[in-house]
Amino acid sequence: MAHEHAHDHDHEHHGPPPGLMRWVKTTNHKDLGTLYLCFSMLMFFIGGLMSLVIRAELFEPGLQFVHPEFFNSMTTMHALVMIFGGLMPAFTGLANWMVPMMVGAGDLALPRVNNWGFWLLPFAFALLLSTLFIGGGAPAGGWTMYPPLVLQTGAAFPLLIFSIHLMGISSITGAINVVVTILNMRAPGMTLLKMPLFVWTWLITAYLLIATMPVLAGAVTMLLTDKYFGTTFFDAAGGGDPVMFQHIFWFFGHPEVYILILPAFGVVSTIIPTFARKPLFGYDSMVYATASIAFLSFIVWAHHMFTVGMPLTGELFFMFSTMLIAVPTGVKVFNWIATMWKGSMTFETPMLFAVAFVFLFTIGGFSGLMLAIAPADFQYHDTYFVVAHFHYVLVPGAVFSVIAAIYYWIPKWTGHMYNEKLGKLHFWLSAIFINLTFFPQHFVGLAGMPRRIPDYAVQFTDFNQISTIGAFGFFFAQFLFIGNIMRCMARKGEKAKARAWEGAHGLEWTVASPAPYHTFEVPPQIDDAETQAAH
Amino acid sequence: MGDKQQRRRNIRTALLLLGLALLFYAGIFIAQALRSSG
Amino acid sequence: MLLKKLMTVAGLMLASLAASVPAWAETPAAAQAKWNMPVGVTEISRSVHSLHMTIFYVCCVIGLVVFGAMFYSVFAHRRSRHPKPATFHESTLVEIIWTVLPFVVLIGMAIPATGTLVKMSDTSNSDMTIKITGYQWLWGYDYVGEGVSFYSRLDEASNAARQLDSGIDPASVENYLLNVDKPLVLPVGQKIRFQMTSADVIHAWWVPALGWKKDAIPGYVNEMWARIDEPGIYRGQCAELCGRDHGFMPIVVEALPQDEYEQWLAQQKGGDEAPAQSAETAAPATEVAAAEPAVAGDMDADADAGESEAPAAAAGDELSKDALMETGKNAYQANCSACHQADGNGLPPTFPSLHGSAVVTGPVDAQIAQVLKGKNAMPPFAYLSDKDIAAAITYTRNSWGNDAGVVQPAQVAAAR
Repeated sequence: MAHEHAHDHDHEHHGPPPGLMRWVKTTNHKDLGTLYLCFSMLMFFIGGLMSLVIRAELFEPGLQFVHPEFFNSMTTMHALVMIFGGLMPAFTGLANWMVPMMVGAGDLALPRVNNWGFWLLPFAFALLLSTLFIGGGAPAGGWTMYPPLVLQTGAAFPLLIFSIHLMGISSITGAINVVVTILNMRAPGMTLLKMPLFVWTWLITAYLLIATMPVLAGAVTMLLTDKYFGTTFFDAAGGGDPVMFQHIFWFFGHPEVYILILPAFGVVSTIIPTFARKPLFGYDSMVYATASIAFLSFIVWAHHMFTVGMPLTGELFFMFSTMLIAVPTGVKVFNWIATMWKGSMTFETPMLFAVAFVFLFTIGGFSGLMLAIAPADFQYHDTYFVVAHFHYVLVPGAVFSVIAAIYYWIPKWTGHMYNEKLGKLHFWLSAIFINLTFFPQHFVGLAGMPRRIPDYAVQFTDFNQISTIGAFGFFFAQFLFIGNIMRCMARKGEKAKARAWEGAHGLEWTVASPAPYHTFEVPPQIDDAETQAAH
Repeated sequence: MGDKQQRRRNIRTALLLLGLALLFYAGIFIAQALRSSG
Repeated sequence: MLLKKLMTVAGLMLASLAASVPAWAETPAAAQAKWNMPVGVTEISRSVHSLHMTIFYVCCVIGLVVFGAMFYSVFAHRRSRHPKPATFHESTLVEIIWTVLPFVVLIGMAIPATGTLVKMSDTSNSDMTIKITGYQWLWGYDYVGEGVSFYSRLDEASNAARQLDSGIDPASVENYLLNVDKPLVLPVGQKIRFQMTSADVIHAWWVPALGWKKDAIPGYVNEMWARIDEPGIYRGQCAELCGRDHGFMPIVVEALPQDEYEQWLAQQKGGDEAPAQSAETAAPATEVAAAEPAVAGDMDADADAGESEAPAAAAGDELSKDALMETGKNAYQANCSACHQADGNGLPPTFPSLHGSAVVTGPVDAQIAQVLKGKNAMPPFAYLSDKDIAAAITYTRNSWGNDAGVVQPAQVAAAR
């Protein structure tokens, strides 16, 4: 397959080979982008089902449906599936599809590594999900896997560790691919500060992945050796330290949450200028702000551990650094609003999701700022206040940006427009139900409800019921989305133009819709109109 | 896509980044070793 | 069965939405308790509440300004109203302003937050010390230097109601999931130093009314302090995932005026005396607190409360099989049946059946070791007395068709 690369200029262009094996063997960034996105949709569905089990049990006090240990497995697996199976592959799929086209490259730098990196994932998740059916059940110590608790996991333990290693390798190789493509394969004239912001955010995200996924690998390797090979890294009786795991985990974990949000920032920075028909405000600031956030993300990790018993100096340092990271984040929000300001806006579905992102992500940012205040965090930590915070930044935050990106780019991918009425209905239902799900959780957490419990004191009932109704509503609303995009994939509906959105700028809009199987095999001439406007 | 030189450049850059990743991986264990011996 | 449950839930969903309407007409205090953090009963809790409200108001103001601008723009700058977009796309001045201004606001928040944090970390000059030990899934309290210690578990009424398919309505249980058999009794007005550790996995001790929570970590002793200003009952929960029953190990603090507290303490010393904990508990250093031998004097519903059985003293005691079975049945129900079920069938594949199981019918030493140290999802039970462990093991080895011999307390003591 790969030897074709050298001959492409000479051959006439074939489309993809027919049949199922195309998808197994493909090294084409568009095919792999599609594979990543389809995989992530399946994982979002599975993770969503798990969240419904959780919310069904939490509808009322008392235990109605599941045993406590299965409930703990659900919360653990829900997070692992959503983060590593849903969000990260979704953003990787978007990067696969869009980064080469946005920089004028014919494909990613290492196409075969790309294929391998994708196919690791179904295998890894088959392993992880198989633990639901084995003796002892799935892991139930939280996605954060703190020892000593996680070492009480039974037969699922090695499967958990191994699958995390595989997911990590997939992410690392994907990230390397993205960095090499961006650094080495931009079309001549596409300087770094002319690249679309989505490319910038993925460049920075890729560096974060390269730095932090290995740290997670180290941490879980030590868990493995503690359980099976007699080490005592995290066992106090052997001279080890359970808190050290938390430091190592969160050294990975905090940059990880920025890995989950920076590409989202890139998507929103693409969509708002298009539908405001106005260039992104403060491009340079946006680049610097993203880089600052990435740098700062390495020195805030212990705000996940304020109650662990750190010395005063440590607590103060992490409180200050965490508060500081709000500044560049705020700058980005202000720049998006300044982009909208005095634009000429229309509110097609991608724009609806992008504006909702700015609003709802910022609400998540506010609860994050509250959590940064260490003494107050002593009351918030490990309650539903934290659950509300991270779901706000991840669901109406990151997930909304993925949805927005798919609506935005699907005309380019399939050559067909989605149904706008259905899209708007999907948006409103999603926006209403997601707030019903998570806003009450702020209250219930402040009122004293801890997290990761299958049952609660009766005073927490009302808000839990609203939250459960919201969750079911949100889950079912997503079928409108799936139906809509499947229609495009089946090549039904209104045909899309090359420049599907009148206000859109960027190299991807200079090629036909659907984009040809191979694009920019010859690097394009960079027209500043495409980059200045994106700039 | 991409000629031999391009491919060599890509692989070189990729290996550098892989080295960076491995540095972070090893760094965890090195830090642990220093911590327990110090 | 599942379908019936689902339909019940659907009906309940509709009914409860209607039923919750009267709940909105509750007293202001009760309403506040549902929506917001409690002010609490200590100086620290009040400071924390005030910090919380301040940062909340700051966020509200920022939100109003930012979202105000955004929604105004959505309205005023839509294409139908504003057909020609502006072209401006940068302004260094504006970027500087909206970087510096938030930075200044944050400094304003950081100063009082630092003050409160510094105050919270000063555990010196305390009047008394309580050592708290987290177990799977209960708390142990030790009044350091007083020779009073006991375990505190979820109360029986809650425990019965919370079982899957219990048929008991939680609303009928008073303080459901927030009640214990033996509360932590504390004096009002004294500076109390709390030292937290764990015997197995990480737990966290949290009473919102006191204003803080702290992790209880095996191998660590974490310190916090509180001076309770008002008598009353204050309830909290474990706040770090610790396994199966993380949601079922609450905390109850009963704060009494000084004289009543002294009375209570004297009663504890005179009556139910347990041997004093060794002196190691006084030092706050991060020493290794290896799993301690069980505090003698078992704490469950059994009638042995009066006996003081130091582990060594039991060496000579041989109990009859009948006595072991009787004690064992109670010990099994109290400690083992949650997972292995009253009929010993367990919940495969998660919790094994004990009918003819390899561990229960195999070598005695292996079973004792597993009960003491735990295995995978089965937590360590070393905090139980030798007698309870021996009795429970004997019970499992002689029930449900098993016939695998008797275990004496001395064997358990020897295995520790």
